[in-house]
Amino acid sequence: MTAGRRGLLATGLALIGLLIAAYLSWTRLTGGLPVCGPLHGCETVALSSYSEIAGIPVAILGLAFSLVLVALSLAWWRLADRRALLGLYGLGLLGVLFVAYLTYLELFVIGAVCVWCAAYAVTIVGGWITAALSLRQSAPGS
Amino acid sequence: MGRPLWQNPTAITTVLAIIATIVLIIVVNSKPAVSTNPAVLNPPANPVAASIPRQGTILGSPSAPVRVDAWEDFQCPYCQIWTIQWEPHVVDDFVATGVVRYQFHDFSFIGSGHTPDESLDAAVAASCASDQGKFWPYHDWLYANQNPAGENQGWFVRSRLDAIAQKVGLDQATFDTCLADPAKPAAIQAEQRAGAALGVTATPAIFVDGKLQTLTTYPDFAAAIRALAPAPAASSSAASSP
Repeated sequence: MTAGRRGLLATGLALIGLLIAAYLSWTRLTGGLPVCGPLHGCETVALSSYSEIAGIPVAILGLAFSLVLVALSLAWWRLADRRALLGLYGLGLLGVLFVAYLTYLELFVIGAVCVWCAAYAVTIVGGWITAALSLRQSAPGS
Repeated sequence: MGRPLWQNPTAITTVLAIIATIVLIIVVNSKPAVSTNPAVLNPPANPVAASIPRQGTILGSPSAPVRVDAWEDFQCPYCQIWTIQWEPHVVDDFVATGVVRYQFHDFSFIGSGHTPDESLDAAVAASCASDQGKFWPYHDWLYANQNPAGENQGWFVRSRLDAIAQKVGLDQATFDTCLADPAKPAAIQAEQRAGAALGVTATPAIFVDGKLQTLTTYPDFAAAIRALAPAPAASSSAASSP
C-alpha cells in the first residue's frame, strides 16, 4: 500500500471514529430518554460510573480525541507531514491502550458490552496499526 | 537506525504515550466511586407521595380523562431515569390534578436467560408488595437500589428483595408465601406478552391514551398529555416543567 493510500485509510478510520463519538456524545447531551432494547449493553455502559472522567463524559473526550486524529491524519495524508504521522502514532497508541482498558471495564467490571464503543475501538486500533506500519516503512534515511 | 534509543522520535513517542495512558487510567480510578455495596439500601429520593390515590399498580383516579401506561423492567437504567426524573413530574402535574390515570406494567426482559432472573424476581416481589397494598413504595425502593454498574449481577437477589420488603413494612410470612407462588411469575410473563402484542419492544415504553411516546423532553411529553386533557386542566398545569 502506498503512503497516500495509507493516509486515506487513516483519515477514513478517524472520520468513522469521529461520527461514532459524535453520535454517543449527542445521545449523552440531548437529555432525551433512550430506551433499553434487546441490545441493552449500550445503555448500561453509557450510564455506568465509569462513563465520566473528571466530570467529563467519556463520549465527549472521544469526540475531542477523534477531532485531533482527523486533523493529524489529514495533515499526514495531504501534506505528507512526518510530525503528523508521529503524532498519529503516539496518540493512536494512547488510544489503543485506553480503549483496551475501557473494554476490560466493560467485560469484567461493568459486565456489559457496548456495540458502539466496540466499533469505536476498532477504528482506533486500525488507525494506530496504519500509522505504525507507515512509520516503520518511511523511517528517515531509509 | 544508528541513533541511540533516546534520540529516536518513535521510541520517545511510544514511551510518552504509555506514560500518558497510565496517568489517564489513574485519573479514572481515583474518581469517587458510586457506592456499590449490595448490603446497603438507599432510600428513594422521590417516592410517590402518600396523598396520591392508588389501586395496585395504578395511580390516580380511575375516571381520569387521560391514560398513561408505563411498561418497565426494574433492572433497566433508563426506566430508573424515567422513574426518578420524569415520573414525579407526571404525578405532580397530571395525576395529582386528576387528569391522568397512571398505570405501571411489567415488561421484564433484561434478566431473561440468567439465573436468577433478577428482572422477573424483582417484578414478582413488587407484585407481592402490591397484594399488600404497597406496590408503589416497593417500586420506589427497587429503583433507588438498582445496580449503578450494570444488570444481572445479584442486586435483586432474594436477600435484597426481603430487605426492601422490611423497609416498606410488608408482612414477611405473606411475602414469602407469595414469592413461592408459581402463578406470580406466570402472570408477569403473561403481562410481558400482552405488552409485546401492543408493540412494546424496549423499556421504558410509555403510552398516552394508547399511543407510544418518543421521550425527547418532558415539556414535549407534557404537551402530548395536555392535548388530550379537558381545557381547565390544560391551563392549570401549563406553568410547571422540570
